[in-house]
Amino acid sequence: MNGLGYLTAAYSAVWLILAYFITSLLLKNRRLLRELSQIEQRVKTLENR
Amino acid sequence: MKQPSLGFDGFLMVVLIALMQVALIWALVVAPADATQGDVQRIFYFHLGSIWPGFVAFFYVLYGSIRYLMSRDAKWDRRSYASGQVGLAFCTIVLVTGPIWAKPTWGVWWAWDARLTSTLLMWLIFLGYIMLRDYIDDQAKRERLSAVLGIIGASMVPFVYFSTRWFEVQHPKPVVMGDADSGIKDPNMIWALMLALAAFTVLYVVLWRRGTELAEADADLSDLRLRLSALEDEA
Amino acid sequence: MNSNLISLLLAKDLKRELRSKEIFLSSFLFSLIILCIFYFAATSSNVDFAKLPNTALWICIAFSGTIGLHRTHQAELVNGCYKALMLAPRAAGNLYLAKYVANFSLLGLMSLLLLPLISLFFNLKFDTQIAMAVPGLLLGVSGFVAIGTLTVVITANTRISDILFPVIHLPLVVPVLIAAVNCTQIAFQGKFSWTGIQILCILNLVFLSLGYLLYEFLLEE
Repeated sequence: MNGLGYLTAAYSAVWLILAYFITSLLLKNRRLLRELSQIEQRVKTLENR
Repeated sequence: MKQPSLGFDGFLMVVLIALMQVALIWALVVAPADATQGDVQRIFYFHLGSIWPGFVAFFYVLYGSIRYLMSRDAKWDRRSYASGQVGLAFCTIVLVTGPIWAKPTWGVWWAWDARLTSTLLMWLIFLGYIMLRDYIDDQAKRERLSAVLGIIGASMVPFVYFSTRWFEVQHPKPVVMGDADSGIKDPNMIWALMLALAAFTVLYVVLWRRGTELAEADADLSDLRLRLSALEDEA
Repeated sequence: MNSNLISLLLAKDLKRELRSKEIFLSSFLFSLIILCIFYFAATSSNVDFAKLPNTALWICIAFSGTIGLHRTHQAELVNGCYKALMLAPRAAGNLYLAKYVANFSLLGLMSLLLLPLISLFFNLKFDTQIAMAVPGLLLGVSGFVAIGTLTVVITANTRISDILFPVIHLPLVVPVLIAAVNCTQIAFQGKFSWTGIQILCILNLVFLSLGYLLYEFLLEE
């Protein structure tokens, strides 16, 4: 592997790790939004009673 | 739930994207290739760029943990936790790019060099800090114990660095690049380094704010869920 | 008052150790097994076994010390002994120092017992060389215990304390282990490392003051 190959590997690694981290944040965000809508649903059923 | 303040975060985001582009261009195109190492040396800009916010993150853990123990305000716990997570991500970047750089320069993927050893230990210490949370059920206890561990861990980081350096003398130093800044002479190299440092610092701030917001939303939600199930039981 | 607390805790821990022989079993016999594996690993890879007494010594201490510390704390939790300690009307810092002294006596004693064992297996002359390793050894174990007394309480609150304790404890004590390993290595070569001792003293001082200040926050329930 030449110098450019190593350089590409290193930069790809940086972006992969960051992408993993950001994806995990986004997934957590989505889970929270889903839970929020569940809670809204429960509040609605509670109000209807 | 608190609405995210889009004004400041949006501004940060614009700054981040612009800085990241400029830093990339400077590191990959404008800065000249290193005389001895060639293009491989360009790894250095983002390698050093991520260890710096890594350090900042861990000192923030120390600061936030002390603030938590003094005030017992859960917001400090969430801030330190988010900071620890981002710091761990940056530390991982350093640990991955380090060996990729070491292979063509030193001829081996891993050398027990003081810098590598201490970064590995720092990574392990903060992995422990992040892991501890998952295994304590009681919330107040989790915050309190994490804060104590955060203080111990962050105050150990300087000692990890000193001890690996003090006792390194007995081993042969890795050849080329005895020191990271030895090859930095061209003003464009310095610019590339400064831009990378700035871009990654802003990246740290952006990620840390997002992480804190999420942790706060998570806590608010579980609080809501508890109150709701209490109401449902009444009804 | 303070020395009274220390001697009380020390007497209790020593008495329990004499009855159960937990640390002895875990540290000493475990170390024998480690030495055995060490011998075969070294000779099968053509490494000069005689050059490794220091390596073997500290691997034994790191492994058996971790097991020993975890065991003593688990024993404290039985019958609510630790709960009673938390309720004791004493300053938390003094309680930490008392626990540290008790743990240090047990592990320090065990590490001293390892020295003749190591010198026997590695054909070291049992004389001044060995005696010169003692300060570095004891200071190293002291730093190990100073941090361990804190981390063992932190991890005891988790669901998987037996796994989490080494994972959290060992990276934190690496600075002190690096210093102590160098210190005893120089002693085994017949010299005395003052700088090593000084660094170990500083590390111990920092760890002990950290523990003294932070133990209060671990005792809340």
